[in-house]
Amino acid sequence: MTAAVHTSPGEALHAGAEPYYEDIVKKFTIASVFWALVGLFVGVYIAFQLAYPALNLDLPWTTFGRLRPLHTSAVIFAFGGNVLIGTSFYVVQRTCRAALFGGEPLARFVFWGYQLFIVMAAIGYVTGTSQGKEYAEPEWFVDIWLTIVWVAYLAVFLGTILKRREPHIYVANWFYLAFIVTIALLHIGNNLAVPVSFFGAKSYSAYTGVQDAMTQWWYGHNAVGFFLTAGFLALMYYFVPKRAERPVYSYRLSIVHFWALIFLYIWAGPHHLHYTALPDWAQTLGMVFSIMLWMPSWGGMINGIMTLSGAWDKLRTDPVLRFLVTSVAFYGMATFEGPLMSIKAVNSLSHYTDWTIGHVHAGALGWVALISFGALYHLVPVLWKRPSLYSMRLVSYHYWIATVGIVLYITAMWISGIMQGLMWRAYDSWGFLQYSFIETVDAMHPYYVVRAVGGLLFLIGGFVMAYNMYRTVRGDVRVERPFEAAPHGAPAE
Amino acid sequence: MNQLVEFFRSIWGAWLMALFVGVVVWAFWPRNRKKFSDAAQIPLKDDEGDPPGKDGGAPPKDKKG
Repeated sequence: MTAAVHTSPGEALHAGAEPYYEDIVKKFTIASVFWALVGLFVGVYIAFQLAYPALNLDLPWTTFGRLRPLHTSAVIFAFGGNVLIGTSFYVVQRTCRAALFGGEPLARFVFWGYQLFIVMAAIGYVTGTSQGKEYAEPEWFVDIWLTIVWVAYLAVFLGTILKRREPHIYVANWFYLAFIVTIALLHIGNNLAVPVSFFGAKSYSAYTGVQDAMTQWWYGHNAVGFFLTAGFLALMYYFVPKRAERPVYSYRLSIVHFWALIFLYIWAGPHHLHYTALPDWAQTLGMVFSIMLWMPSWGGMINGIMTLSGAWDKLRTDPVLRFLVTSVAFYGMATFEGPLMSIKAVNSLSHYTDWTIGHVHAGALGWVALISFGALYHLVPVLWKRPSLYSMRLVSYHYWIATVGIVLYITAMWISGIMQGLMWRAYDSWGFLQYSFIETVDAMHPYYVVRAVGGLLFLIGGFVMAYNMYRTVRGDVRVERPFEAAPHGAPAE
Repeated sequence: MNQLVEFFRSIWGAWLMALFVGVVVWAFWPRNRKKFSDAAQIPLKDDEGDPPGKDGGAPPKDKKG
């Protein structure tokens, strides 16, 4: 099926077989960087809207309610999705020693089909066409299109695994496959809906009341678990060993990590519905499974970080590896915070506050985005056959700008969120609520400004990366002092 | 028969637990050690046959700056 295809100069030959398809990975790489900038920009804009509401311009299309799903979908599904699909096509070919099943046409359909999904979803949000389910906002016709594209994606990935020439299926591919299969299941399950008319966009969900809420958060939390966690753990298990030039710390731990994560994550959704109409036993079940997730999460984090044991000096000389390892540290931090917040007593303070937003961004910026940047920095010179990146110094600048941005963001949200939660539950000596709602909003203003500045720094880092990659693709290498030349004991920068 | 099926259905948690314990035993079974340490090498030897000199964009090893 894939035998009679052209070989572009960009495609590597592996020993005595059909060439890998790397052109398609280049497309996904470019799309990832593009959507990262779009998604981060929208995020920064709505962060400033919260601090300065006049920025909603009094237009329906630019209100927070419409731009917020645009931001979340652009960073999660457009940026994250392109990184996941692109790297999965790269990793599965190399670790299976087989070219993509279905060849160029099917892979190209997945690429353009997925971009069309993103654009259709985005237009829907801005024009107010939404089914109102968080992270599942697109209406029924967009959902059906995504299902078709996703089945094609599954066929490419699974077909490649089936025709592999490497007897063992490397653990990164297990994580990718769990991500693809579970997202298909969640997407179809949560989006079951009845359209009002054949040519109309409007539909009604097949679920009602508390069942609707439970299905939504079964979807929502497992989107976190299998899209933002399992998928990016696949990146960790390929790119960290690759970049550190050492095998993963414990392959046997990675097997236990995988199955523990798969068995536990699917039950954690109810922690989004503490103190609601959801039956108490279901809330407690969600809490218990969330807490048990500490074990696989930290097992995986230790496995990723300890891969560097004996090669810690590489962190000083290779800023790309620094991105990858810092992301795993953030993964450990965010997955410690998550189960903590799922405990009902903690949740009674943290729920509906900015603490949740801070937690999400520790995971999204610190884990997902940093590991994606690390993987993209590794891939660009490989795919375009360049001797190295244009500038390692710029990678290092990007690293520090982004990290300072994350720290500003999450500390501002911790303070703001805990303050908000405490103000909401404060009573005066007469038993009345001490603060009106607007007083809590007013108190959060300075933290909203700090958060927006943190996000802005992260966006600036993204532009530094895009410039560096553009120059790399053009074939330029900047003349600069290498990191190795720093005197012993002095800081590398 | 139906009662038996019902019984085994009702303890599905125990089945999953047994399955998971099986996975852990398989992963740490001493005889599988070599198989898994070989598998861990897969990403490190996946660029055999690539053009020479490609280092994945790692910083140049020499001091050419």
